[in-house]
Amino acid sequence: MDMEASLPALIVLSSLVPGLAIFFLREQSHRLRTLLNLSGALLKFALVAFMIWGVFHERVFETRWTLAPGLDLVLHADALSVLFVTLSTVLWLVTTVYAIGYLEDSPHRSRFFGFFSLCVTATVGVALAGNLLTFVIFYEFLTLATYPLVAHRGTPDAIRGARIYLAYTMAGGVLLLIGAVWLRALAGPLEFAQGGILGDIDGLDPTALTVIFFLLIAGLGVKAALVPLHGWLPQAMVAPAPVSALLHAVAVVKAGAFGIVRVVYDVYGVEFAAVLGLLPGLGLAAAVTIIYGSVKALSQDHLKKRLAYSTVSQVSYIALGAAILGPLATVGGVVHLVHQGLMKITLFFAAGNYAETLGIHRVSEMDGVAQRMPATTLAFTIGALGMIGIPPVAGFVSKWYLGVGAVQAGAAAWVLPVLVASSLLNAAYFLPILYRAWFKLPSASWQHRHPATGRQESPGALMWPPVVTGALALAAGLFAAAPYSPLEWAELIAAREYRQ
Amino acid sequence: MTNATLLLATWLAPLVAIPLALRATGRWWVPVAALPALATALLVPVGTGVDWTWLLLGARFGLSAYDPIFLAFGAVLWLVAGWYAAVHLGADAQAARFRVFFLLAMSGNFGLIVGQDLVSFYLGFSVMGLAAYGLVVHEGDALVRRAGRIYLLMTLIGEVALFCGLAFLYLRVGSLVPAPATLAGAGGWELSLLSLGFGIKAGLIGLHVWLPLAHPAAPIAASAVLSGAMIKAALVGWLRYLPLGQQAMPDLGVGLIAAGVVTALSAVVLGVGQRDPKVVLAYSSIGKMGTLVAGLGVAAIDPEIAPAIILALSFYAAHHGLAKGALFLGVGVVKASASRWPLWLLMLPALVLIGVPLTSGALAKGQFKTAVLQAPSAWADVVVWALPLIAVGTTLLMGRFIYLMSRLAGSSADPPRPTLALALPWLGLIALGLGLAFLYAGASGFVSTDLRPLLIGALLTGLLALRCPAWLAGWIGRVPPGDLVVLLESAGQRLSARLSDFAAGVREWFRNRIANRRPAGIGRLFTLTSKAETALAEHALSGAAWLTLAGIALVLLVLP
Repeated sequence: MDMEASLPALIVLSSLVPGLAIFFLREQSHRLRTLLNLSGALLKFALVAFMIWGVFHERVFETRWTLAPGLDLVLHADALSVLFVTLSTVLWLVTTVYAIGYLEDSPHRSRFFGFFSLCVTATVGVALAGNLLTFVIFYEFLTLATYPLVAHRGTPDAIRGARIYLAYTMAGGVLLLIGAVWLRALAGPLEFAQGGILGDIDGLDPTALTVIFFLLIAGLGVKAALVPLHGWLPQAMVAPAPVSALLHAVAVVKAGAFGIVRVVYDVYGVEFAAVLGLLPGLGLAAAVTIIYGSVKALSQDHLKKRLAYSTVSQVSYIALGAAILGPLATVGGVVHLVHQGLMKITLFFAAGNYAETLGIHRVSEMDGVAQRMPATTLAFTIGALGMIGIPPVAGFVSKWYLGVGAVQAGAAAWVLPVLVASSLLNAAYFLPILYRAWFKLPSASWQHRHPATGRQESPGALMWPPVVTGALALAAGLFAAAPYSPLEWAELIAAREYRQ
Repeated sequence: MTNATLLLATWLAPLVAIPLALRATGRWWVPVAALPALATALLVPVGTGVDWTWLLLGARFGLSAYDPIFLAFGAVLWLVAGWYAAVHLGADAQAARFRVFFLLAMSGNFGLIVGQDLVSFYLGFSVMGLAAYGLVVHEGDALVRRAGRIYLLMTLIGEVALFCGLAFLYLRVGSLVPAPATLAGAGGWELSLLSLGFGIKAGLIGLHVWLPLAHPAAPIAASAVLSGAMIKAALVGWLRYLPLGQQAMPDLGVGLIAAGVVTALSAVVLGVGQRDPKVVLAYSSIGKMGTLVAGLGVAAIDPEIAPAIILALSFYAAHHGLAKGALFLGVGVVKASASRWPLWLLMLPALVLIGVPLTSGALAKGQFKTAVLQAPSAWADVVVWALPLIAVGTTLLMGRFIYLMSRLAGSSADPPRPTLALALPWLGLIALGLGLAFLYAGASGFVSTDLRPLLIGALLTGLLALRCPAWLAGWIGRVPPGDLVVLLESAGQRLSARLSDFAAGVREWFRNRIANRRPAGIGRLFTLTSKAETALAEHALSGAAWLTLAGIALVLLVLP
C-alpha cells in the first residue's frame, strides 16, 4: 500500500491500537500506559504533520474499502478534514498529558484511557470521513466511546448524566441515520465534495431535500447542542475535567458542529442550500442558541456549568457562519471550529485545576484565586477574553469574519445584533469571574481548606496544558494572517466552497 | 534605529516592561516604557508605513496625517504620569497590579495611534479601554467599584458599536488600511455606529455618565492619562475614519455640533456644583471634548475647510492633554505638600486651560475660531456664538477648581512622600505646556485673543467667591457626579422594585388561586428557564423517544 492510500487509515489506527492495548493493561502499569498514550499521540501528531504538508502540496490521501458494490467506507483528506484532524490531534496530545496528571492514583485508569483513545479515534474518523455513510458510522462510534467517559466516576450523578447524554445522542443518531439513508436512496453515494453534490443532480424533490436537511441538522444538532436539543450538555459536566475539556472543545460537540458544516457545504453546497431556502432556518436556530446559552450561563454559579452553557452558545457561531451565504462568513464559522476549541479547552483545564488544587467548583468561591494560581488564572483569562471577542485572542478573528460576512451577505440587520448581544452577555458572565480572581482578596473557603501563603500552582502536568492551549489561542489571533494559521486554512476552505 | 524598530517598540516596550515592573524595584520601567513612543513621534516621518502581513489580520504600523501630534503629547503624558506613579505608589501587590494595567493601557493607547489598519486600531482601542478598568477600580472601595462597573459597561457598549461600525467600513472600502480618499461614501449606519463608539470614549452628553465617576475614582496618575491622553483616542478615531474633507455629511455634522455645544455648556453647569476638585476637572474634560466635537461637526458639514479644522483640533487636543494632565497631577502634589507653593503653581495650567494670552490655550482657541469662522454654514455660527460662553464657563470651572484645591492643600492622609520627586514630573509638564505656546507661535505668531469672555468669567468667579446668592449656593452638591447615571440607577431601582412588587403580587395571586403550596420564587426569567431545563433533562428518555417518533412521522408524512 502506498502512502497516499494508507495515511488516513494510519492516522485513525494510531489511536485505535494504543487504545485497545490499554484495555488489557493492569491498573498498576502506569509507565507502560503512559508510554502507549503518549507515543500514540505523538505518532498521530507526526502523521498529521505529514498530511498537512501533503495536502498543501495537493497530494490526495484517500483510504477506501468497498464493503459492497456502491457501499464504500472512505477516509479522505481535504482541507476541511485536515483542519479538524489537526485540532483534535494537537488537543488530544495536550489533554493526554493533562489526563495523566489529573487521574494520578484514581481507580479504573486503564478503562478510562482505553475509552479516551477510542473517543479520539472516533473524532479523527469523523474528521476524515469521505462520505456520509462513513461519517455516520464514526459519529455513532463516538457516542458509544464517550458514554463510559462521562459515567467514569460512577456516582449516581455521573450515571444519570451519562444516561441523559446517551438518550439524547442516540436519538440524534437515529435522526441522522434516517436522513442519511433516505438521502442515499435519492441521490446515490454521498461522497463529500467541495461546493456540494446535490446541486448537480437533476430531478431531486426540493420538499424531500428540505425534510432530509431538517433530519440531518436535528440529528447533528443534538451533539452540537442546538437549543432545544442541548439538554444533555450541562448534565454531562459531571464528567472528569479532561473529559469535559475534550467533549466541549474537540470531540462530541465539535463533531456535531463539524457535521453541520459538512452537510451544508459538502453535501448540499451552501449556494444550493440557499436556493432551497434552508439557511434562514439554520440561522434562526443558531441565533436562538447563541442568545439562550449566554442567558443561561449568566445564572450559573457552578463554574463548569457556566462553561457548559457558554459552549452551547459559542459552538453555534459555527452553525451561524454556515447559515450566512458568503465566503467571509464561511471563514468565520469554519475558523471558529478551531478557535472555540482552543479557548474552551483552556477554560475547562483551568476549571479542573481550581477543583483539583483548591477544591473550588463555584464561581462564588473564586475570590483571589489568581494570587495562588497565577499561571492557571492567566490562561483562564485569555480564554475568557477570547470568548467575549476581545483582540488579539482568537475569538475576535471569528467574530470579525462573522460580522463582516454578515454585512457582505446583507444579513447585518439580524446577525450584528446577535453578535453584539452575545459579546455583551459573554462579558457579563466572564468578566465578574475575572474580577473575583484578580481583584478580590482570597476567599475564606479555600484559604481555610488549603492554608498556604504565596503561590501554590497545580502540578506541572496540570498547569502546563492550559498555559499551552491559552498561548495557542492567543497566537491564533495574534498571528492570524501568518502562513498555516487556522485562519489561512479556513480561507483556503472557503475559497473552494463557492463556485461563483 | 530604523523606523520599523521604533514603530514596533512604541507599543511593544510597555508590554515588555510588564514583567520587569512586577517588582517594586522595577517601577521605573513604567515611565521609561513611554520613551520609544516619544522617539517615534519625533523621529519617524509622517507617511511611514511598515507592513507586518503575518500579524493580526495583516497589520500596518506607521504615522499618517496628525498622528505624530497625538503620539507626542500622549507619550509625554504617559511618561510623566508613569513617573508620578513610580514615586507615589507603594511596594505592595496592589501597586504591582496597578503598574501592569497602567502599562497595558499605555500599550493600547500608543498602539491605536501607530496601528494604521482597522484591526490594530481596534486592538489598541479595546486593550486601552479594558486595561483602564484596572486603573479605575484600583482603590477598591464600594464607590470605586460602582464607578468601575459603569465604566466597563459603557466601554463595552462603545467597543461593540465600534466593532460594527468598522465592519461596515471594511466591507465598503474593501481594505483594512483605508486611504483617506477611499473613505467617501459612508452610510448612516456606519457613521452612527462609529460616532457612538467614539462618543462614549469622548464623553458626549448622554454618553458621558461614566466619565465623572471613573476619571476621579482612579489614582492621580491614572486620572491624568485618562483625561489627558486616553480620552483623545476618540478624536484619533473620528479623524481617521470619518470621511472628513472627502464628503459633506450635513446630518452627522449637525448632530455633532449640537451634541458638542450642548456637552460643552452642560458640562459647565453640572461641573461648577461639584465638591470634589477631580470631578470638576472631569467635567471640564467633558466640556473640552464637546468643543472639539463641535469643531468636528463643522468639518463634517464643509469638506473645504476640513483640513484647517483638523489641524486646529489636533493642536487643541495636544494643548488640552498637557494642561489637563498637569492639573490632575497637581491635585496630588498639592494634597501631598505641606507648603503653599504648589497651589500657586497649579494656577498656571488652570490659566493655560482658560486661554489667557501668551499660552497654548489662547493659541488653540484662536486657531480653532479662525478655522470655524471660514465655514459658510449657519451651523458654524452656532459654534462661533457658543465659544465665548464656553470660555466664560471654563473660567468658572477653573475658579471653582482652584477654590476647592485651596481648601485641600496639604490634606493628604497618606504618609508623606518625597514632594520634590513627586513634583518634578509635574513641573516639567507645566513648563512644557507653557513652552508649547512659544514653540508653536514661533511658526505662526500669536493671534490676538478676545479677552472679554475671560474677564467676564473672572469677574463672575470673583463675585461668586465673595458673595454667592442663596439660590446658586443651593446648586452646589445638588448634582451628584455622573448626574444622569444616578437618575438611571434610581429609576432602575424603582423599576426593579416595582417589578418585584408586581411579581410578588402575581405570586400571591397564583398562590391563592391556583396552587396554594407553590414555593416562592416563581416569576423570574431564570426560574422559568431552569424549569424548562429540568424538564428537558428529567424527561430525556421520553424526549428522545418523542424526537425519534417525530422524525419517523415526518418521514412517513413526506414519503409517497
